[in-house]
Amino acid sequence: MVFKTIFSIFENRELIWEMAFRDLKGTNKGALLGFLWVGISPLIQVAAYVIIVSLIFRVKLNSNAGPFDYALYVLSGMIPWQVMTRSISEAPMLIRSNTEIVKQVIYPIETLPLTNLLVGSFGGLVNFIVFLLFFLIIGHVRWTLIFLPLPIFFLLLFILGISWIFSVTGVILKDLREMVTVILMLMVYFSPVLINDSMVGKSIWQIIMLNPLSHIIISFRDVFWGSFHFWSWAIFLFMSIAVFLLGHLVITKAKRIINEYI
Amino acid sequence: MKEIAISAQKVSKRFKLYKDIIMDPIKEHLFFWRKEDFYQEFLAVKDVSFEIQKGQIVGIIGPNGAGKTTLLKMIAGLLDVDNGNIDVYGKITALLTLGLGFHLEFTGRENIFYGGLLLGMSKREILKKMSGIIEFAEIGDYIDRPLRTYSSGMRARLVFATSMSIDPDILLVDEALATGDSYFVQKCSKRIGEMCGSGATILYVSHNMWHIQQICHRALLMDRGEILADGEPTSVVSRYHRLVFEKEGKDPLVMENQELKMVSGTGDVVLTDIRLKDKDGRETTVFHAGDIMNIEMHYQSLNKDIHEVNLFVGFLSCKDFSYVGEINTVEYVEPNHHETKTETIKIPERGLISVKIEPLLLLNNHYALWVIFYEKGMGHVYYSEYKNISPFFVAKSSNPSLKGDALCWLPATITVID
Repeated sequence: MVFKTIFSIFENRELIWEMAFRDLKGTNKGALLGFLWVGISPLIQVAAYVIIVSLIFRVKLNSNAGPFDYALYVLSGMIPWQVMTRSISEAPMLIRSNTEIVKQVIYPIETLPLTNLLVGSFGGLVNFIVFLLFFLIIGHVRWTLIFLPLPIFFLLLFILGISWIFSVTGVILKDLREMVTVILMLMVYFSPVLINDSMVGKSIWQIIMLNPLSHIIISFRDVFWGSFHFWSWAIFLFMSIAVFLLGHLVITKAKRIINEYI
Repeated sequence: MKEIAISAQKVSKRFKLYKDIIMDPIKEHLFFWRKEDFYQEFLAVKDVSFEIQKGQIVGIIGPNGAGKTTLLKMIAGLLDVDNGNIDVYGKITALLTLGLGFHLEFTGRENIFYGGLLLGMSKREILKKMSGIIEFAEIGDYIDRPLRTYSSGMRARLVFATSMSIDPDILLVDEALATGDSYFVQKCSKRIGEMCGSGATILYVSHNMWHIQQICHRALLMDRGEILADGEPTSVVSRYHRLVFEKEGKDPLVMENQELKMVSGTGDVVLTDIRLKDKDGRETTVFHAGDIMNIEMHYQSLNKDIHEVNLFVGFLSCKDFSYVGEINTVEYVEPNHHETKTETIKIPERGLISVKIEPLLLLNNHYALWVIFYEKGMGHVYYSEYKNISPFFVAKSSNPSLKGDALCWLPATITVID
């Protein structure tokens, strides 16, 4: 069953890619710089963040850390966080905003989250490259960076699974998108995106650890900074696979009946 | 035995109609022991079976809500089948709507590309067909300008051309060809013929009976989820018209319209009843071209003595309300006489006037009558006028005409001289 879906995704890779491209083109068509905006805005975002935090506020990670460390620390969590939240908050609208397509042609709806993820990742990719350049210039290269594909792969599973669930639920529950957006917006404060364990008290850190999304961020940071948190990895891996399988169950079930509800 | 493209066995589709689309499906599962309370069932397709051979063009006709689109969607795999089984042999493409994926800011070329993708074509396939599509659409230099700069005709052509570029094994078309200018519709019909010639099977839902008779090899008539007739298009189409008339006859609203209401006139002579009868004197609303039609008009006159009046009976086409024929006592042709005749009718206080039309030369269309009683002489005072009364249908006779439908036959004598 799962293999069938994975095969369908593989088979439709061209469609996924072109539809993502179409989406990007559609939103930027007619603008003066057009396509460039996809890259320009995240670039400025990263640069502004680094400059403001490091050079103006002079926030330091700890007493013996370099001037850019805090900014890079935040970015190493913020980039995966943004890619993830963008995809998840769009997920409830995936089927709803493509009603016509889903209703009228045999469209592989299981590929919609990937198209959406690609659209959201163009900006994230630019961000990531800029961040990596900074990272290398500052000289923080860790050998653990070679494991980067690992958290990316599991994040992909997680995003796919949760997008499948939300895209189907969003058809019936019309305000799911607003709910998800608000919750994700608040969740950033209950996650280690902006802080580390030395910046807050023990009890607050424990609350942060209760947020399952925190472990995704911690795992990503491990790769960048050469640390290792066993339980975070265990929770991340288990959660991703579980969500992926559950999402798969939902989408395959819904695929047969979704047409009667939209 | 010929190869089968689609085979359906005892297919049924049930829809659940929820009052509250959010809460009722949830309640249905929560309170499963009384789940029938939360929805109404609606059987859209009932126990339908048929087989379609490869290379056939099959038309599906029927009134609104007959289940035609549901059936197409089930064949396409867009809807699940509740009971029964549908087997489809070959790659299937459904044209249920036109212009899917078209974006106003995209150029014609980009729109062809994405429209094609959504129709299930691969990138390579579309790029290969691109020039052919552009040529078919007759867009010219506009192809690289955004769609929003196109005229509506150009948009329609672009959309059509894209849709028509597919070569599926099985094509499902739902009403899609009903729009667009007639030149283009012709072109598309031709293309459908070509596809069929290359071995494609086509299933075509339409309300355009003319089209069905023109391009289909076979027609299915559906009503309330069931197949009522299956066979040669011309006879299925006339069966459809009969069905529509039966429905209209049963409809109380239509009955009220049929009440004879004068649209103008002094009321000196009024109709009290009007009936259409066939050659055996049976009342009917369906005739075949070449039949005998007898219009029986019961009237009432204010004048107690025998009264001389003129009578006019006009035939209006229900398709476009054009005025296609008339019988007028001022000048009319009696069969077997080779000249026109002028003769008023002399009517007592009340009675029956029979207007016998032999043969009926109108063709394949819905018609309604326009009746006027008017003064003898040049004054043209209308005693009474009735419009759009007593609708009837004339079915095409068994021998199909060569080129579409003319309005009527013309009586003729054909002789070969040396």
